[in-house]
Amino acid sequence: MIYCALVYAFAVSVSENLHALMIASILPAILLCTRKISLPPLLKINTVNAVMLFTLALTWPVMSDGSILGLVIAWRVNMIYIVFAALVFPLGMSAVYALPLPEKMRVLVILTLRGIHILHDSIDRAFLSASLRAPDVGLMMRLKIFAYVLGASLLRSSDRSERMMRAVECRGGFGGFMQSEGKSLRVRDAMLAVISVSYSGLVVLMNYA
Amino acid sequence: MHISEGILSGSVLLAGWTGTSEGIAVGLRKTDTSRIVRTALLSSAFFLASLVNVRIGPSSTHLSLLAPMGLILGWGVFPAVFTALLLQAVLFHFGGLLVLGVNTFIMGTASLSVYLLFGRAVREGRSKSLTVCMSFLAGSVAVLLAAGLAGLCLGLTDSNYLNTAKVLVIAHIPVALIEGVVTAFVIMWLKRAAPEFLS
Amino acid sequence: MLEAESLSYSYPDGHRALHDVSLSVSEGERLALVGANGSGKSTLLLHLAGALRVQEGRITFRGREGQEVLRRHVGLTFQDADDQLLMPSVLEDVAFSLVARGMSLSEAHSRAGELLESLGIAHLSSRPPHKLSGGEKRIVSFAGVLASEPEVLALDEPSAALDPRARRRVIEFLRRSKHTIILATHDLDMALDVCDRAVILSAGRVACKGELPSLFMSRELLESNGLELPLRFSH
Repeated sequence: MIYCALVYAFAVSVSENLHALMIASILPAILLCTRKISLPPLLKINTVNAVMLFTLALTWPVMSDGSILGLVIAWRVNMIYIVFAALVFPLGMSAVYALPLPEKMRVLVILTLRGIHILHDSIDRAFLSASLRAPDVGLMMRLKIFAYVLGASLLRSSDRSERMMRAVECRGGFGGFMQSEGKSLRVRDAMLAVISVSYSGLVVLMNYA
Repeated sequence: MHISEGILSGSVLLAGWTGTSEGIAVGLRKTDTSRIVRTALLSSAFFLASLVNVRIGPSSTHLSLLAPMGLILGWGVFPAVFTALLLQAVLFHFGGLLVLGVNTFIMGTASLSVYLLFGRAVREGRSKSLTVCMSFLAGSVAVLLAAGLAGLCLGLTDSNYLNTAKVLVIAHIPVALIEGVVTAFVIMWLKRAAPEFLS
Repeated sequence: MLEAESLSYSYPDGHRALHDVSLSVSEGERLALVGANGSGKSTLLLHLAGALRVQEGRITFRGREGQEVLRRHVGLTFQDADDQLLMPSVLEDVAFSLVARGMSLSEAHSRAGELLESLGIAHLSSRPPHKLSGGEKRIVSFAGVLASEPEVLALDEPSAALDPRARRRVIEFLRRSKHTIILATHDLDMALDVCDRAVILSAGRVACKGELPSLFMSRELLESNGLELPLRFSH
């Protein structure tokens, strides 16, 4: 799924031709009707698109060309987002584990995920404590507090994470635990790959035709 | 500094992924098991920094911590940035998957550059004011370099983007100054409380 | 002095931590908030210190409402002292709230130094807080809060992760203190050593209130609220 989505996204990214983009819109249109896709992120993306459109219109040599380009980019962004939202994001971390990453990278991903939770809690509580002791402060002091909270939280989390790694090593280490499972290509996967490459290929062909 | 999906040309996207793959390969080779915890933590900090808004008058911005990451991790910054951006894209749907290669390359290169330019001075500097200056410069340069590289990627996609690139760099000047200040504070804290963290 | 009326609170995940809790603390009083894990002690304490915004009910300090009022007059120490220690040295950490409120650096450091001296930990002033022992961190966290001269001390599990000697030092410090104290703890023996009165919380509600030590003498009452008889009564 992830590879299909990436191939599609690449095909859309290189497409400028109106016919190619229309052909490419078929898939996200189908997905929008058949899959549950969260709308708030889409609204947020289009807010950013509006800013980008405005910037391009002002900075492009010819304003109308810049505006058209902005609209084309917004169109592409929406299509790519809908396909990822329908096919990749629901997989969550399984999407990450399915990627062909080296084992060290996988260990890094899992430790980072854990680190995010620990650091987030630690920083939250430290900020709360700092805001109770220093409620109304100027920008410089706020930046200093942010930096010091970060430093202290990093150090504390580092100590805790080092102890966790020692515990993992005492239990035999990761020992190949993080290696990706051997995957075999099923008929369904092969068909999906063929359809996805063909479809994306058609979009690219329409673009350069 | 994130470039959105759907903007860059195919060749720039592929070049970004190539550069990032090389950076990650070198970074992983230079990151042994004893350093992997620290790499993961800095990656987590980078991830979280994008969620923390710092109020500046009527508006707010979020920090990137590119310089602290580079100064602490060195070459390990490429795997760290890649991991954080990957998790941001998958868990928060923020940043994009196809452009992940280019975005990682931009931020990793900016981070690594400040390590190569300012790392020794920051680590070994004995004078407090010199360390503060170097840290501030590292923080500011990292942001401006990342903005510049993002502009370069846009310019390589289409030369008409160069004006947009200029706007991008200028818009990042206030953020660069703030990052410089934060980097200086972080480095001063680490140098006083835990200098071994910088070694 | 400090009064909570019909306080209820739910966390963003929907968990209702407090149901209709009312209590009052008089000036100079030492009140223990006791209860099993998850009974709502910390949540109540965070409210009383102005760290959480009131959803239902009200909290007043000398008749005045508002988080800013509470934050100004109630000093809170966290269960994990590390959550409070953010500066590179003990002296700077204790001076932090003074500097943040506009005092000059030299005066703040001078006041912080005097406070550390009075607590018998002046020898720690240049040490990085993260290199201190658990007991030392606890006392330094007290100092950090005392520096801003609150009228009420709100302490969340002050004996957590302390060895017996450090725990004894904390008890002695609290007994010597002239502040109004609210102590959230499941260390009933510490509550008996420090406090005059206690409120037993169970599942976010006030189960019982009363004078100490008599409140803690009933095994049935304690066990029905997830607590056990204090060691000194269990022989």
